Amino acid sequence: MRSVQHAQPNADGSPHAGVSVGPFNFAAEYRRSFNILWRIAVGVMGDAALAEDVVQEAAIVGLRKIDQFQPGTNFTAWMAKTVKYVALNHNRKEQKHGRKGDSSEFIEQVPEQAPSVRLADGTQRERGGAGFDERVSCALDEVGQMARTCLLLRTLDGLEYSEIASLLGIPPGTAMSHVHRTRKLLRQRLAATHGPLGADRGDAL
Amino acid sequence: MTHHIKLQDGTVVDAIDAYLDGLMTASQIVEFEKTLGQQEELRGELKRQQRIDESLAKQFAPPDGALTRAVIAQAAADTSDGGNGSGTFRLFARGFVVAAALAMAAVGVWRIADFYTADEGPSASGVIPAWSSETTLADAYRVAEKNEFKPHWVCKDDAEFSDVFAKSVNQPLLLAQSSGVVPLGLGYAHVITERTLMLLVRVDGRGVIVFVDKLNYDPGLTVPEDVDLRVFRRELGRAVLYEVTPLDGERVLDAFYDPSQK
Repeated sequence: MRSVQHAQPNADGSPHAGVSVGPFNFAAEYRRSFNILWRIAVGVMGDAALAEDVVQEAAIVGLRKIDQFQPGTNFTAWMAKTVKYVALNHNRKEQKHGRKGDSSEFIEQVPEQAPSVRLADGTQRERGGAGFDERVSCALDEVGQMARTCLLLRTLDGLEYSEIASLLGIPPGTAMSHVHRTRKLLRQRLAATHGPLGADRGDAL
Repeated sequence: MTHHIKLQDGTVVDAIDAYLDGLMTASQIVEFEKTLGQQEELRGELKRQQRIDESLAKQFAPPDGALTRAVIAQAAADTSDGGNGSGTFRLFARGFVVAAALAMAAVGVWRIADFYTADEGPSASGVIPAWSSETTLADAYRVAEKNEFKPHWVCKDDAEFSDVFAKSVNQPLLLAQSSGVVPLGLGYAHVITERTLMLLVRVDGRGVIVFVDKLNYDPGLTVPEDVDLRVFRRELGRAVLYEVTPLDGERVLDAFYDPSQK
């Protein structure tokens, strides 16, 4: 399991001793937390291209409210709340303008099948593409925001379930359950679309 | 076929998850790996999961965050100049701007405009405040004009220029050279969204601004008839571009192109 320095809370969710965000190190702390915050944003938004917009906006909000941050507590967890808030607001705005399906709750919500997905480079990918990556991404769109976020934080940031729980404000068991169910769903979808081992048009597993 | 195992705390989980998560005891690992050797289907499942994880890592690699760092620095500068914060915060923000500038200079991503090191703060050094209240094309132009069309930053090369647009409006853009058109640099204004990009240029010595944002946010903008400015609009890929100019015709819009289409 990869070690994530600074950007993770203590296993019990308690304040991260020794981390104090003073006037001159907001940028440094934000940079250390950036990957995790971005992954939370992309987990909520389901859209890599919009995720950086969200972390930018969250940074502005965090910066303006920095006097509310208690030195000695976990900076990443503090900012994670803001990122979630901004991302959900963003989703609501998109929803209001009819650009996105219902996504009012950061919980078990399962979005309808989106017609297409925007990637980090801004390109639009249509559903049903033949590639493995596309199918993974399409399958991931079927799960809720919380499950998607838990999976990304576990798989890509190597966070412990207790750390994910602390960042997202959920019990550790729920975080684990989200990850396990999502993995299983992805495997099922990929098995269904790619068939048994080695049967996916030369795209062998 | 799904394999489950019982963890030490009594929880029953999928064996593949327990294996990948390091939740198995030593004896459970030995047992599981033995089963793996015997069952092709289980081996396939595990390989599929590993490949899914690789795919996720590829698809969800975070950006370098350079744009975010620039935005943070700019917001700090803007806040410190806005007079809204407490004295402590304003002092903090000024210090932060310098720190952020140093951090960004260290990674060599942006050529930071001189406001980052200006003792008097950003506005005093002539930088157009971004993240301000929503404004019109004409008002944004007047603010820029008052500040002598000084940009927030200048890109070091075409790749960086294109990348800024790709990240901000999901559409890489480049500007072809045209006679009489001198690009000055980029900035932000709260026109279409809070982060409408501005390209500030001189055309035959006159200040001209091209506002660029995501096409799907475009409300359709104009300037009042009594304003001595003209507006020209163009859609390019996923971007919408507005040229606001005191000249009679558009001179910059046509010079924009999508580098991926060349």
